[in-house]
Amino acid sequence: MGFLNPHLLPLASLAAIPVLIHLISRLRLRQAQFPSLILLQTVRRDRFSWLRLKELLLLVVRTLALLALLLALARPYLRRTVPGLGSAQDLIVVLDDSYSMAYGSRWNRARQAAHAFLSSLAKGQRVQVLTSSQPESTLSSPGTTIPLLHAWLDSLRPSYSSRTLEPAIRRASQLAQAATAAVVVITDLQERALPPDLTVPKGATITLVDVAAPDFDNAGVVALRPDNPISPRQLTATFVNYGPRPVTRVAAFQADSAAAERMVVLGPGSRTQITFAVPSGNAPIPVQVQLRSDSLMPDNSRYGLVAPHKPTPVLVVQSAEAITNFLADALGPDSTAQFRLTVIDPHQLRATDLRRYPVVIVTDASRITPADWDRLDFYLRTGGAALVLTGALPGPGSGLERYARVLGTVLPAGFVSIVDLDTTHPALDILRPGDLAPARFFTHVRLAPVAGRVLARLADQDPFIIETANGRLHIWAVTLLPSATDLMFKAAFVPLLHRTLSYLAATNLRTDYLIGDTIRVMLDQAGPLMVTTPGGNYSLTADVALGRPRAIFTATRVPGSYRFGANGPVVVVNVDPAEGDLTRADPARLRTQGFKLQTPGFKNETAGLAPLLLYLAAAAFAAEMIVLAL
Amino acid sequence: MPLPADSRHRFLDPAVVAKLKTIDLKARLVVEGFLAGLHRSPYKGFSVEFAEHRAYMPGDELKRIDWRVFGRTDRFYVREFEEETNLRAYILFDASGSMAYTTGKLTKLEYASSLAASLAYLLLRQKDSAGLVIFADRIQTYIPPRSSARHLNILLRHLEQLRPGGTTNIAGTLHQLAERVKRRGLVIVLSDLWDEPAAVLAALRHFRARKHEVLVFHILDPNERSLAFKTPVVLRDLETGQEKTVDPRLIRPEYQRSFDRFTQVLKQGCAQGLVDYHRIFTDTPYDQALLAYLARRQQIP
Repeated sequence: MGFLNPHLLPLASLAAIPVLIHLISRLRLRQAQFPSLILLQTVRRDRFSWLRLKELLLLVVRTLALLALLLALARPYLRRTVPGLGSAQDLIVVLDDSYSMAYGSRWNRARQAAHAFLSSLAKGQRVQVLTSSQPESTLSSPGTTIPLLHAWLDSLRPSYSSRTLEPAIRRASQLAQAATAAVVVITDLQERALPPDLTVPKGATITLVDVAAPDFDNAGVVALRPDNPISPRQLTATFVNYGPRPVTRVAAFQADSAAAERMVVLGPGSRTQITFAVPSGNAPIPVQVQLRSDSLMPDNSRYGLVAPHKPTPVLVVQSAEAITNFLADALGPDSTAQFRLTVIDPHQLRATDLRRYPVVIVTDASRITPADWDRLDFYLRTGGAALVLTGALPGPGSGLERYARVLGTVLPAGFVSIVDLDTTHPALDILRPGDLAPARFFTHVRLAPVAGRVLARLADQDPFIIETANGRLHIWAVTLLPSATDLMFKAAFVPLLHRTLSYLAATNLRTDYLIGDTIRVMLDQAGPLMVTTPGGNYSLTADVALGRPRAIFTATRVPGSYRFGANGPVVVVNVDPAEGDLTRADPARLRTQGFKLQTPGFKNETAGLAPLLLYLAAAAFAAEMIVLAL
Repeated sequence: MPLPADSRHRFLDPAVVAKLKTIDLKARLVVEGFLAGLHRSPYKGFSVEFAEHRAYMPGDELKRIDWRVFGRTDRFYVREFEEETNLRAYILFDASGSMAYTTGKLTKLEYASSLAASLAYLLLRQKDSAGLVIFADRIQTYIPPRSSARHLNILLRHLEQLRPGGTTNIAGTLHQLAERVKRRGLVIVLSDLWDEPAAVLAALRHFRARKHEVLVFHILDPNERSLAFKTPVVLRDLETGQEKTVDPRLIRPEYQRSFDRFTQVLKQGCAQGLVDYHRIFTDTPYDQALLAYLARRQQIP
């Protein structure tokens, strides 16, 4: 026997109240005066036995009635079978806690099913429970007692996660193979959580326990986009209706002190956009668009950051021999230009105040005099950053040797391509490993890093991009001339250049994250700082491994604005809007993928005893009436 | 003009009377209220001492018409006389500890005090002589009967100063008194009679043997019969201090039968011994007790 509401089981102890009252009333006798006890001494006790029996009967039926009522609250049931367990000895329960489970009564039903699984375990059977949002951590019995597992289940809430069930199923399958266990996945069968390419591993038995009704209504905010990244005046919010029926909702916009509301009418499966005016200002403003009166809460809000952008000043030191318009074309100016270029000749370098520029581009390192290298070196050591292209071999005494040894010029037969790209580096993480492969290099300078590291390498194993140890200088082994490379004509060139300069200029590269993402932000100084999030405050220490203060934050579990330090950068974290699409996977397709389906729920496998207990309580009350009447 | 029955009972309600501060006032209130409530007093006109003339009313005996006055005035008047007897009444008052019991607004002792005062007032008002004997396990106070008006104050003062206490020894005390009172008269016993019934009856018969008329007011609290405790309770005897734990719900019927047997034995024993017995509960209006007295009084020659 098990209980669907085991946490209410302690209430059964209240059934002792009638017994306690009986005992207390016997123990705490009232004292009273009486004129004479003469007659009381002579009273015979003939009727005492029946009266005592009557009192005892009343006590029993009252206790029984109360006990039956209280036990009925805990919803006891008789276990018949554990679905999906088969001949397996142990059980692994995967609870889908993605935010789609917050829709309607899905979460309650899922938790009840999980409780029922735990309660149905026979003696000696082991169980492990894990959630889809954090499949790496499991709770297991006998490591944890069953009551603790029940309590843990009660403490769980649907997360804001949008992870598919794939990692959890993979993890559960590994555990199952190690322990010869059956796997049950309690889920809403959301289509995106169970992609077609997800198959049941060989030898594993995975039962999907469906806790969702096929019908649903849900709309959400899926995107916020400013009209102009440099000087945003308006913000366009995109709304989607995932459901099969038209819906009318109210969209509320809030930014600092500004607020507005609009009606949103969405047809079945349609999307629409609404534009809101944003307040002007110099500081980044967190904004929120909320869709009111919609059933699934997490995707009803979307956060954004309206950040008036100031173009980053870039000094381009360009020699006549390496005149190239490709830099100017790639970096602006136009209405969305992030950079404001100042182009000077190398001989003007000594008269230029470098501190006015967060980043300097040298188009040909060989044209920089040793004295200017000293100035550049000082600039780099005092917070500046530079991208240096090497066109020709630098002469003796070149300051470049401080960062990379120049081994000569390479003229390959034909060309070489980039074969190795460190896409984990913040300056390159916007690219995929093969994005730069189409670029051809007809000649390049052979470099060897002095104390830095290689971020990209050519097919001949020569470095293409070198980053110095302090992260303030990137050296490319080529200059941007068509005779040297056609990199400038490739699609990845602009993002590569933008990303590199943003990184070097210490501009925060990204301000919009999803739940579960890792936030990386550049800071002004290293040391401890407080991260203020909607889910609480966190203490953090800025990472200085790449030569500049940088914070890495992984606890992105709640949507909203995240501020790094009192006056530090702000980013926003949103739920993945795709999770709001509650469309169910086709059961036939899931069966072909190897899953077993348990529908409509776990209740069919149990025989509820609550009605029986209610009848028993009613009978006990009736018996009380009869005994009282006797 | 008689008062309506309801208002008369309200007037003589013990709870109402108990609000009066002095026992003198209580006695006056009870007696006057009682007399005002009687339809017609049969106790006037038996004496030889002229009191007054009053106009003839249909129903008056023709022999009481004063023909001389008729001759002078040509109107019918009847003569009325003050009643005059030589009755000696002894009020035997039980002041034992059990008389302190109450479940209402007044104790049995207070009720009996008011009743005793009323009886004394009534007796002395009729020019009878009244005495008072207060007893518990022994005679505590003995005031011989007198018929003077001042005597009433003495009786009332003693009644006001009464404090219950001690155990009951009714039989012994009554025997002692029966021996002490030589001249026959009316003996009025006010007691809860919590003693051995046979011994009490023997003592009462002792008075009868001495040619006394005996009137017993058995004063009881309603709870002494109903035992109306709702939960189990430890009962402590007011006289002996003895304790007994009882569950009234279980023993009530049996106790009430036992109580009724106890009072029945007393009643039957009194009847056999020609003793007038009246059981009175403290929530009963006083006029019932007074009527009982007057009914007995009629028998006195």
